[in-house]
This record gives sequence, C-alpha cells and structure tokens, in this order.
Amino acid sequence: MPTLLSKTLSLLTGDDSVPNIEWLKLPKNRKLQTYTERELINLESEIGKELFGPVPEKHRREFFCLDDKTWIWHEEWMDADEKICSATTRYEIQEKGILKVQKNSRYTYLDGDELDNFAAAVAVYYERAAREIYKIDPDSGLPLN
Amino acid sequence: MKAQDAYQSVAEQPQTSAYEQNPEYHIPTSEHYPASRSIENTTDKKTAKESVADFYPIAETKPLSKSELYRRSILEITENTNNLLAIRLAHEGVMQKPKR
Repeated sequence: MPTLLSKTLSLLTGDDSVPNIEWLKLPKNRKLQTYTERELINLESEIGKELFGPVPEKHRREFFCLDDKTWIWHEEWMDADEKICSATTRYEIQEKGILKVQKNSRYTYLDGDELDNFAAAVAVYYERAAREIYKIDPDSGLPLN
Repeated sequence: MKAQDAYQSVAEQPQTSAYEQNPEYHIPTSEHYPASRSIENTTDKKTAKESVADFYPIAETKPLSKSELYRRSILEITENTNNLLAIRLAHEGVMQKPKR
C-alpha cells in the first residue's frame, strides 16, 4: 500500500511507478535539538525588549541578562540619513549598587526612579521568562501545570 | 537561713511534679477557658479584629530610610537575577526546541 508521501510524490510527478523515497525520510533515532545558552538568552530578550514600551519603527531593541553580574540594553536605529546608530548600556550588579556603564558617558550608580524602574524591569523579566519560556512558577520554582 | 540549710530543705522535699501535687490544676476545663472569653462572644464593644490585635499586637512600623530602600532594591535585583540564571542553567542543553 503506497504511503501518503509516495502517493503525493507520484501525483506531483505523474509517475505511476513506485518511487524511491527512502532518501526523504528522516532518521528515526535523530536526537531532538536543545537550546544553547545563547539561544535561551535570545528567547528571553524577546520578552526583555517589550518591557519598556513599544519599539519605535526602524528600531531594534534588546534587553537581557548576560550573567549573574551583568544586564545589557542594546538599541539600534536608523537616523535621518539612513545611517545605523546604536547605543549599548551595561548594568553591573555590585554590592555597592547598580553601575550604569555607557560609551562616552560618565559611569553612574542608579538611584531614585531609574533604580526603581530597573528593579521593576528585572522583576517582570524574571517573572515572564520563568512562566512563558521555562514554564516554571517564579515564586515556588515548581513546574507550571 | 544559711545557704547550706536552704539546700538541705529543698533536697529533702519529695521529688514530685507540680501535676502530681495538684492534678486538677493542669486539667483545662471550661472554667479556665470560658466561652465568654472567646473573640466571638466578647462582651465588650471591641470587634473581633481589634480583639485579635490585643492578643497579638503588631510591632510598630516606621517608614524605611532611603538607604534601607536602596539596599532592598539592590537585594531584589540580585535575587531575581540569580533565580533567573539558576532556571536558565537548568534548561541549557536540556530544553528541547519545538519540532519543525
């Protein structure tokens, strides 16, 4: 009995003989691919970029946690001359506070509203990444049902 | 009474517990916990909530200082970051990509 695949192929090619479709089949013992750290960060960044409101047209934004001491905000956009501009801000978690590092700018520790906003962004990022990507309850650390 | 005499008098007392000396004392009865003393049947004008507050007074709270708020923000950020990385690490190389 012809399989659906061979039937479809014969219909498409108009060939009535039984075609050899072995080369089309995927090996059954093929391992499922898993996410690397970089890919997980990319998934998280999809959430991160939404935390600060809609991304303007011709802008690309990324916000993600790089490691236990570093958060990155990266933004790219086109200026009036269609030239690509970019700005990267690094937030370093230190015992003394959160150090904001920007190119051509003075390093400062976050304070006031800026610190509150950053803390809120990190909290929502963790909450949403845990629930939406890893399917884990952020409070208990248990898998979501 | 000299110390030695006091020790002697105590040492000579029978070694019985307070319960053995007066068993009734330990038996809780309605006399000890009358219904009228329960919050629901309180006879005074206090609400149940106020009565609970009498039993379990909450420590006075005062507004947090700026430095304490700052410290807590840093702590919260650190904690959320560490929790996130722990989950990410547990899924790295384990979480499967959706089938194409």
